Amino acid sequence: MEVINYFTISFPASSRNESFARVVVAAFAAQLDPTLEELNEIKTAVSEAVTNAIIHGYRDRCGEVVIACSLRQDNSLEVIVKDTGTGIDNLEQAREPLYTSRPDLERSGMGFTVMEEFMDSVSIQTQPGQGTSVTMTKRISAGEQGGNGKN
Amino acid sequence: MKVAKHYHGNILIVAAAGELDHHTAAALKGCIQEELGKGMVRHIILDLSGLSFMDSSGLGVLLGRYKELAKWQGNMLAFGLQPLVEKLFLMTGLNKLIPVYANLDSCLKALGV
Ligand SMILES: Nc1ncnc2c1ncn2[C@@H]1O[C@H](COP(=O)(O)OP(=O)(O)O)[C@@H](O)[C@H]1O
Ligand SMILES: [Mg+2]
Repeated sequence: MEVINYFTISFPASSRNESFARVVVAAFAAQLDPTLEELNEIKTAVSEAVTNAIIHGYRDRCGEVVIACSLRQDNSLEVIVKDTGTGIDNLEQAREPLYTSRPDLERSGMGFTVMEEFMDSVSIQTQPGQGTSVTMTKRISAGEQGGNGKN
Repeated sequence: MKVAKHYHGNILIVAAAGELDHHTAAALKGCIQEELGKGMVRHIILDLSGLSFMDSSGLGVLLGRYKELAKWQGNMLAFGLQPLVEKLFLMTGLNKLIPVYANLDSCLKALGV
């Protein structure tokens, strides 16, 4: 599917950037004329992936998070959130609802479940010791209903 | 994230407004823990009407306080959820632990007040 627009940003793995990251992606996605609900879902999924990179990938130490975003001809958004942190040893277990490796931090273990629920697809590439890359896509319906920025 | 608190008898009412994520979770946790530490809280009612964003880090911090309260059979209730927050409650089943009501009055009624 043809890419019609894209951007890439990188920022330090600091929790203060969590809200910045979700707002930037939402602002970009606004070109697809999403509903408020769709925008909120995108924001939440981005927040989950970025928080994971900061807490789990970099264990709250220094590092850089990269977000690459693109819009496709079929009115869909692709968001890639990438870290070069610890990576995930057991991906199947990590994706299970309620599983968290950090109960000491009061994590709910629902991050991946939320991403899967709010986006159309979530795929994860990870390599222990190398890092993790989460690719999420979501098709925006509003454009089909002739919204095109008018509503 | 703005957190305000007041009491209705021994019921702590916490109003959390703004965005509840990993970055802001500590502020909400600190505020509630401070009150729990005083040893006078029986139940907690969460006023989430001003909460425009929450993710699974928010779930974690609410669950943590729920578990503290459960040590003395205290209940945690919530009202005023915006659509996104309500969706998260329902999707994760959090509403089974922290039941959701329409307003403060129905929360108080549910607690028999
Ligand atoms: N970017 C990442 N780097 C390393 N580990 C990760 C990453 N993302 C997720 N994980 C692992 O997957 C688990 C589940 O993630 P998630 O569902 O978001 O729950 P939580 O963040 O509450 O622990 C985490 O506890 C962690 O062990
Ligand atoms: Mg997470």
